[in-house]
Amino acid sequence: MRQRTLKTVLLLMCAASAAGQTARAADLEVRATVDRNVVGLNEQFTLSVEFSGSGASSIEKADLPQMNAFAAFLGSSTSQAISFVNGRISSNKTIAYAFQATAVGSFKIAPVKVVYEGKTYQTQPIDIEIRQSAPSPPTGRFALRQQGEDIDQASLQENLFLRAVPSKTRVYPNEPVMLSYKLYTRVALGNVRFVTVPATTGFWAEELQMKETPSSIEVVNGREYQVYTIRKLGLFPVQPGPKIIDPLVLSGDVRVRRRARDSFDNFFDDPFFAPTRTVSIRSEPVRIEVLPLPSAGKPDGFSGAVGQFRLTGTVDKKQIRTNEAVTFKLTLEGEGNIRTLPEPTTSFSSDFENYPPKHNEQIDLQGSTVRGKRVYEYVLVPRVAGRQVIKPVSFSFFDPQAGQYRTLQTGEFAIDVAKGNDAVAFVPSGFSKEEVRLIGQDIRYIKTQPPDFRRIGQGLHNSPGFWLLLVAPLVALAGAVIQRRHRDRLRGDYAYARLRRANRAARKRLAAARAVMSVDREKEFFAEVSKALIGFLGDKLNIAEAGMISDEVQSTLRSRGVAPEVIDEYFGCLQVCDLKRFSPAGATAEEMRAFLEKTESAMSKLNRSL
Amino acid sequence: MRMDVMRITLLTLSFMTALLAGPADALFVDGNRLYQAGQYQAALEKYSEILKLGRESTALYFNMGNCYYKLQDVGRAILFYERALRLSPGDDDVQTNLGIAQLATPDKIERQPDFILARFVQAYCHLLPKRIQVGLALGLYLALMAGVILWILTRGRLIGTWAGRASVALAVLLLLAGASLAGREFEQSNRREAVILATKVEVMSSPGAQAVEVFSLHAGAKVALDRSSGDWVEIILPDRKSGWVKREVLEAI
Repeated sequence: MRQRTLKTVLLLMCAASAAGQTARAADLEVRATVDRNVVGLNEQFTLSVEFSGSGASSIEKADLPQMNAFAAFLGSSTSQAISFVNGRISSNKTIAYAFQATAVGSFKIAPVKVVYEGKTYQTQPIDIEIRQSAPSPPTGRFALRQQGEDIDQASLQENLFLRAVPSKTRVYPNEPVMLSYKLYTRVALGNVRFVTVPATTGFWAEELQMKETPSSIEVVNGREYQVYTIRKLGLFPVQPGPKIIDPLVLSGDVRVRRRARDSFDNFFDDPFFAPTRTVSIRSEPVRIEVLPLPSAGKPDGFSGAVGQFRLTGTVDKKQIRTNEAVTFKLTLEGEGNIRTLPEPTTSFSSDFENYPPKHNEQIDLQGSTVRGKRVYEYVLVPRVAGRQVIKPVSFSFFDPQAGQYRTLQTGEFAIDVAKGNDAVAFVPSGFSKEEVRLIGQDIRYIKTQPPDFRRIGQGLHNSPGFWLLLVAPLVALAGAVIQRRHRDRLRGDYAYARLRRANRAARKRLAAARAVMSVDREKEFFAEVSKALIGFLGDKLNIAEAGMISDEVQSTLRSRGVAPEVIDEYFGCLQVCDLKRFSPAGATAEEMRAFLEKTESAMSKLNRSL
Repeated sequence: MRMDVMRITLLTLSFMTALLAGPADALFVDGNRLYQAGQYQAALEKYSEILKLGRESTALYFNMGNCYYKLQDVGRAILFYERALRLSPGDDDVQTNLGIAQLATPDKIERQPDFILARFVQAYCHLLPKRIQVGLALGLYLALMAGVILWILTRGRLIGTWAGRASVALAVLLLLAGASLAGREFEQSNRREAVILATKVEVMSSPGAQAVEVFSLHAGAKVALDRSSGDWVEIILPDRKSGWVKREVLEAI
């Protein structure tokens, strides 16, 4: 039964993990699109890579194919939308890459690749066609009609010219430059068309929309001209260095013959009827010097924004419960390159679960400059009850008018977070496998069997049984020692004690002999050696030294299995001693030393055989 | 003879325990009934009375932890589960519920790896369950004593020689077993740990409210205690971060 349950559990686990795998795989979807498939040369187009699925928010960048052959990269922007459905996060992220078309022809944008959790996702290839003449602004729009003097070829240059007027020629990267193309004319001009629209390489360009071509009167060199602003661009330099924008070329029809000015002829004073000539009108190239941003006073958080900005922050709720979402909205508005504005650096307390912000932008291209606003929305989910604070967010930019860096800051927001209903219902990200296993489980039920209660702080060290077990053997040990002593004394086993100290005593006596080892004290020396030999034998055999009879001792030794040559050597030494002690013949120091060594060897041999 | 003494002692001990445990058992059963009925606060009161009697057990701490969890006091739930684990480190129920309670804590603290030698010593000290460790050391001690007594009594004879050699071997084994037990006891007595009970705590760089906030902790975070100064104690996190908090925000396990 138990086995079966186990098997079922294993099967279920396998199935669950397989399901998890497929769910994982379907978690990311990647799509690539271009905003238009037919682009004019030098025009901008946008390649958008769209990610959807729960994995989308973690994607930071995509691997773009090589597009150098036909397009120059201008910049990118990211937008994101996040939705919560039943505690699950699903998100949609789009990275838009802006390009400028640089070559004419039909091209294929190879698949965009994204690596997510070790898997590579690919999009479909996209066809793009780049044409020489762009589907440019309709020519009819600039069909200017005016009362002017009809003119001959020679004076055409003076009466009709095109000027490219930049608002500034020395700028910082990302500082807006307004480039206006103004058509100065003193002649009747019609059917104006763009022939060559120059590339704005090295700039992020925004074309300002004009509802109608503004016209005014200007006096140049004492002559009055009708002036039309035919095109206006907001340019944002990307990199420092000198930049040149090539001439813009227009063509237009000019009336060349002078007419009589009377009321009747006025009827025919119309381009439709007038004999005209097509002329080409060309502006001068524009030179713009892009200066590097000053390094002095650059704030830490600066990441390239240049212009004039305002920063405001708001929260939608001040009182919420845990695991509910509050939206923190940051609005950056002003004048500058809104589309490429870096995100202000935010640092939310770890008590908030936070997600990459959703942002959108509004750009006003109607006025005389590029202005707009960019709104970031941060979804914050407090995990902990209490008073939570959203710290001030700061944003740094360079103010080109003042020539210095400025840092903006929002206020601080305090949010009162009440405890939500369910502490574990919302599952934040960042759990380990082990923790995931526990998610959704309820705690195990209480233990119902009354346990064996024990005294608080009670351990082995204060249980008497333990101490009894420790001490009892020690008592037994002491008892054993006493018992052994008692028994030894009863037995009167003095011999045992003597045997144990025989070696030590012999060593002591030989040392004494060595101390008197000199020619003038030879008698004393041999007496000491003799004492050592007799004493050692007496200790070993437990015989009184006084009662030691040579023959008797020898037979005892033999009976205890000592080899005869050992006995002979030992007693030989003893005899030498006796001889030397009582004979007048002297011994040299060397003889004495040799004898001492011989004695020691005899002793150790006997010791070993006993 | 010795065996008899042991048996008598153990019998007496268990008898005394049974005698004193009477009211504790009744309170425990009452507490369980209230828990079953969903009256967690009342159940807690019953369980707490057992503690007031000076009694404790793994089951008691476990049930109290469950009550606090149901009352959504994750800090105290973790505190009591940890106390239960102190008494029975291997209890599966306690470990599971502690894991679930820890899910509800916002602090995720990574444990820093220990020094390799310290890890080795720790592994050695925890090679066997404590119960077996104690039994082994005690058995070796008794065997050693028997060997030594035998050696004293039979010294000078062949059996005495063998008794002496056996005693030396037993002494070496006892030393090894004793060292592991001592290491474990030392670790346990030195391990002063606590659980944060306040909802949110700012951990300061030094004692005193004017110090700089180093990081923050929330209810349920387990910390080791170090020095103390007045109302303030120094806490150390498993990832080696440390700082000072007021004593009232935490409770020792």
